[in-house]
Amino acid sequence: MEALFFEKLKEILEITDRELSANDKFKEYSEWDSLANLSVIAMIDEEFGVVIDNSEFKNIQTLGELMAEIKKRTK
Amino acid sequence: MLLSTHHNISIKGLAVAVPSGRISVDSFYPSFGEDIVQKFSEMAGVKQITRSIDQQTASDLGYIAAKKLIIEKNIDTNEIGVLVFVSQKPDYRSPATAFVLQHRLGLGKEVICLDINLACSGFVYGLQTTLSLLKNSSKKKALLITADTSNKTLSPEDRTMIMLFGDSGSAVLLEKEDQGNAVFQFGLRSNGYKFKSIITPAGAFRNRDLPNKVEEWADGIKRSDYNTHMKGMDVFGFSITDVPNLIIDFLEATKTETSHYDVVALHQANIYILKQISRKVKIPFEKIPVSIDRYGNNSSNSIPLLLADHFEGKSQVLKILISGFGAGLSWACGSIAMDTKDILPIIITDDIYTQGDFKSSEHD
Repeated sequence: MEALFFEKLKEILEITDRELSANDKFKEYSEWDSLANLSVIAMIDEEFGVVIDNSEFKNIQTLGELMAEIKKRTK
Repeated sequence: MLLSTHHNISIKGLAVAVPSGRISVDSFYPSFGEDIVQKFSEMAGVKQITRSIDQQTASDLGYIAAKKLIIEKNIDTNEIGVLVFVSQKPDYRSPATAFVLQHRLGLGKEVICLDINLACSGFVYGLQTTLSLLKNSSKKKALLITADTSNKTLSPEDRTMIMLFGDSGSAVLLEKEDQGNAVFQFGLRSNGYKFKSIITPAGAFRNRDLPNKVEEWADGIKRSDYNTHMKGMDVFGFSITDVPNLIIDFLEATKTETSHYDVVALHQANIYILKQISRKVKIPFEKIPVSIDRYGNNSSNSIPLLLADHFEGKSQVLKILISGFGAGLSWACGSIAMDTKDILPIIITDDIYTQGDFKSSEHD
């Protein structure tokens, strides 16, 4: 799951110059903005069949936390 | 889901009016930068929007559409017993704009006139309400006018909304049938627990002390409390979950399948949302016409505009699945039918109702 998740994320955020890590505070990426936020929520819905509520999304800081939330909900 | 069923009624005409103003999203490059504009355009599917001049109200657009319909369909205005105006941009704080339209259209006095304050779900709710009022009245015909000029309360700096919304109005003529087997059905839901998701906080009576002052909000965009604000993520989540779920429930309740419908006419919120609804409800995307690219999101008028844009000039009886969703939060879908020969060509108008301007000489 992690490989697919990172690959999709890089695609959406148009990140080509580095690898992503579970510890990344993704909202601090220079590529992060409201449109990126929308695209990520949509990607998670499309790839993993989970829609994360915005109120929950706000509390998530790292990619690891985001993946944990997806896993929790796909169970 | 609230299910509402209507027998022996039909749509006898549809007319749509748009202003001549067109704004290409490219023209926002200097304001927001090419990169942001192009990303927005790709995600939302908007290349151009319609824009009314400042003095043109939603009812001006709706009026032109209704007038054309009355003339072209040779309607005896005394037979019209219901006039419902759906808009979030009325002419005045009071009275309801439906009365202004009654006057301008020269309707008789044996008529129910009222406004509905709904946005993107407004066409479906408007149909359900108008048909209910007509059915229980002694008159034969009803007019549903949906129109909006969403741009009038947007902050010009709000890149999440200012490139998205278009202005237009339309009129639908509904008629009782003595007999027939046409059935219109609607599935409706509301979620007032999210009333702040799309809101214009000031300008009415709750926040009378708020200054009309532009400030930077948490999202970095400058707007005032008199501007409309949309919590994009909330609305997006709602649109890709609650809306497809409603359509799925509606199909089940009405024992129909997407293959039973010729067309699925969805509120033109954003192309991405249309694709997600298509995927989740399993509707082939070819069945979902698109007009957001050239007109933008037209609030309650998206669906009539979409139908006129795609089917005017043809003659075929279409079974149509419609769905609108937005502020409230409010969402609805429905099963309707109409002969597309009853759709008039789209009218372009910048007409305004100067007699509607209030003058100091009227302070009597």
